Amino acid sequence: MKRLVYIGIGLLLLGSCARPAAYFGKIEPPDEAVLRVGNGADPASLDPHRAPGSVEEQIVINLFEGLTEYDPVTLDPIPAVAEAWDVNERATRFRFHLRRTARWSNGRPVTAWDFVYSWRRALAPETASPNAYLLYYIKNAEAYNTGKVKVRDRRTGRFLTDAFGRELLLTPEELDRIRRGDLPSGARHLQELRRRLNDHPWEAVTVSAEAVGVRALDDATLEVELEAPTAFFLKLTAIGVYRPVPREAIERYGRAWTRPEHLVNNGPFRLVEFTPGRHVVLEKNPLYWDAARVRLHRAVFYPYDEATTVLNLYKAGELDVLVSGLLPPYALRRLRQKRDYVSGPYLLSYFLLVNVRRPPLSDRRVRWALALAIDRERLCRRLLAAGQQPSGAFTPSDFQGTYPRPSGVGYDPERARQLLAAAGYPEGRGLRLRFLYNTGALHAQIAEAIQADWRRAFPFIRVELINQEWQVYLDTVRLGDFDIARRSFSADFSDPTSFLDSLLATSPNNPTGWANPEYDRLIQQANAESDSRRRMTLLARAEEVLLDDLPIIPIYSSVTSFLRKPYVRGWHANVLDRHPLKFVAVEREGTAPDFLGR
Amino acid sequence: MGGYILKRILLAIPLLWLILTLTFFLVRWAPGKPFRRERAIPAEIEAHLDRHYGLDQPWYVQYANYMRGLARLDFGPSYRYPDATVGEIVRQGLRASVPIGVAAYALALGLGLPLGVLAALRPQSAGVRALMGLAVFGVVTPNFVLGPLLVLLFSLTLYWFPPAGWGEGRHLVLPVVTLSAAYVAYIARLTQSGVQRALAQDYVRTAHAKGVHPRAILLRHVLRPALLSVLSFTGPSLAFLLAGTVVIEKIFAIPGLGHFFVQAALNRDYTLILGIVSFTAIALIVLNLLVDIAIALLDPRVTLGRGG
Repeated sequence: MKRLVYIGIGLLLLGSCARPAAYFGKIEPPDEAVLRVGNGADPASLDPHRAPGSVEEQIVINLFEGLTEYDPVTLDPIPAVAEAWDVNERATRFRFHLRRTARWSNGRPVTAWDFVYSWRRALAPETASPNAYLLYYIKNAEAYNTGKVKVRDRRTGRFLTDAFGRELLLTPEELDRIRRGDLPSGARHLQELRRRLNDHPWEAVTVSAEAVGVRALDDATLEVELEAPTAFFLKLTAIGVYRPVPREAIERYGRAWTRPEHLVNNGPFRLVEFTPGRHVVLEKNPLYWDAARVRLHRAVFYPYDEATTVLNLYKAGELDVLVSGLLPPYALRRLRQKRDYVSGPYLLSYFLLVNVRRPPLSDRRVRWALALAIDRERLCRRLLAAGQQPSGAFTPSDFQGTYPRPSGVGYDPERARQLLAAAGYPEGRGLRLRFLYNTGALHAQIAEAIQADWRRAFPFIRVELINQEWQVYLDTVRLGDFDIARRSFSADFSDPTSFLDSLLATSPNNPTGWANPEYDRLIQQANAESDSRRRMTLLARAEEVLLDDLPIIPIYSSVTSFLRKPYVRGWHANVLDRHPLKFVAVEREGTAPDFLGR
Repeated sequence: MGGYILKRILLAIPLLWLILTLTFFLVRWAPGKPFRRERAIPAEIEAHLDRHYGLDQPWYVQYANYMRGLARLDFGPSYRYPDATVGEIVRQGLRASVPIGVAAYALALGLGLPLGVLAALRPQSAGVRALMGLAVFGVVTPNFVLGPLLVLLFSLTLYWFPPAGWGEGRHLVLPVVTLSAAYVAYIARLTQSGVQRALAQDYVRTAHAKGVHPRAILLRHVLRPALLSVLSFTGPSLAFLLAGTVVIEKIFAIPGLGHFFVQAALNRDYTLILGIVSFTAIALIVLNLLVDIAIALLDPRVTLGRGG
């Protein structure tokens, strides 16, 4: 009995003191060309229009192929269903030339009409697509999706526009108010509009699906008209909500069309099984136009979300690769020394929302003092083991050198003390703040570290930490019932607007109460700018305005952080953590490198 | 007896209604909504989603619609899984929870009963005492400690069994052992005390005096009454095992009913929460009824529906 115990303890010790530079756990490849992915959660839906987040996106992009595909390293658009495209000089009209070999899994060719149908479906209010907003760059898409109306001048037949040449959109309620003349003093833009309308005979125009700016010129040519110059439109066409869906299956099976037995798709893989809570199994699609280059036979996505369980499964060789962010923080320092640990920049910002409606946070000096007193460098070094970068700006990246990202706020406790004293709170006397965060990850530790920094700089400040369950926290933030709240925000596509748009006065993601007309004007001006250098400069100026006002306090830019077995090829760290499996292989004896030469 | 069963079933209906009504309002009072994520979506899109699921209706309309669906045994679509219905997900969960629950209970009975009998018959034997000690260790070690310990030893060090997952026989071993550990000891203790109590009865002494074979005494006169207490423990605990065991399913990543229940609560998946609650309630009511009937059949001293 005693001996057994000793053997047991010995085995446990052996298991825990593996050599640091080695791999983590088993490294024998699986028997066949199968990739087993730890995907972090169950996909809510495999309908690319109803799939809300990155968990779904990771699977959906392998079932449905869009006009363009993500490059697995840079995420730049590479030809997919579209083999070529042209764009007009202002970047407001794109013409895609579809490859004639692309077909659906039922044998029918993929045509431009499929994209017209799909984008109209994604925007139809009945579809209730949570990601429809990503299509708003297309002409009339927002109006059709939201039911807003445009205003036409009867004499000229032209639509009324705003200062940047964009057509005005009014909600039915706003229209009604203008008609009735019921304009509260707060609604200044409506009063202004009413004055404009008084000069013209006008009519309100509702927008139908047919008016959305996507047309099939013939089977193989798709023309897209945009609301405003959008040079980065090609970065959007790889997003799930832009990918085509099969009309025949949807009209025949309704909600059940994504079941394996009904699903018709056009991507490199087809769906074999989806069992919620267990796994999603994909298999190579032999009818895919580029099937010769697809090297995986099968891919299995597992929904495991418990960090330790995921780690155990990876170690035991039951998972080959993990999506970013699944590793338990307590193990990171050890895992970082393993050869199968991978990490790289990630478009995710971690910051604090400041409720600028509430005094004393309505005082810019107080916000600056709080921001200057946080030692981000130390916070990242001590708490965040994955290599997160301290950040004084809202955008987490310079977007491969294209974006002159402002450096933003730094660490200067001395100036912080002066500013707070000038604002009437010397050494934090009389300053009480409620700091809201949600359960999970390292939010509590980060909140405590910030609280400690503030106490060190302002000995008399009182910061109450409030921890709420996720859904409760989301509700509290939405209702604006906080002084300071932690927040992270990740990009939908790799462009600064994916972040900066979220702090426009009208954005649903801006619960701070901050509204700066100068900021909104610069963003809108940038959105109408067709020269991309000038556009980036305008965006950077907008971010400077933002960082001057500090309705948010930046903390750090995140990194992707995951484990990948040495035999997995073509699954790279990239800034959106997207991994099209078309480029992935499981290397056993003598597997060639992928066709992009990586 | 038939009348008694009918009465119990009729009583169960208002009970179920009460449980479902309470749950219906409790989940709607909780802050949050089924499709809220970190990235907020435009108000118009949220309105589309609300309309799609009927959440734009006043609460009494939602309640009436839900109850009307229930009468047709339609639990509605899941909010979290828009492509699936609640019925499908509950069935899916049961496919994992039932084999694990039944296997764990069978293992617990298979080990616990003989151990209990042995402990009662040979209370002084060192081996039996050591085994009982081990069983008590199973009770006092919480399953969230025992599970990871087993994983550490058998999956990460010896590589015998997978550390988690579902679908093949090898996935069953560790969760079943972890889950049954506590029940082995309970059943052993209940059996032991039942047997000891029975052994002290006059009719056992009489049987001995009449020269009945000791094995026959044990089986007929001792075990039958001793098992009654085990049986009344069985009903509710089996119901809980079937309804999924949250912690075990979390540790071993098993897609059982408990897993879906927790996810549904976190996601505010109103219909799925209600579906699982009603299944659990029905399972508890039915199993308790079955246990009561079984006890009446086994124990001549108990008759159903009379007296008391």
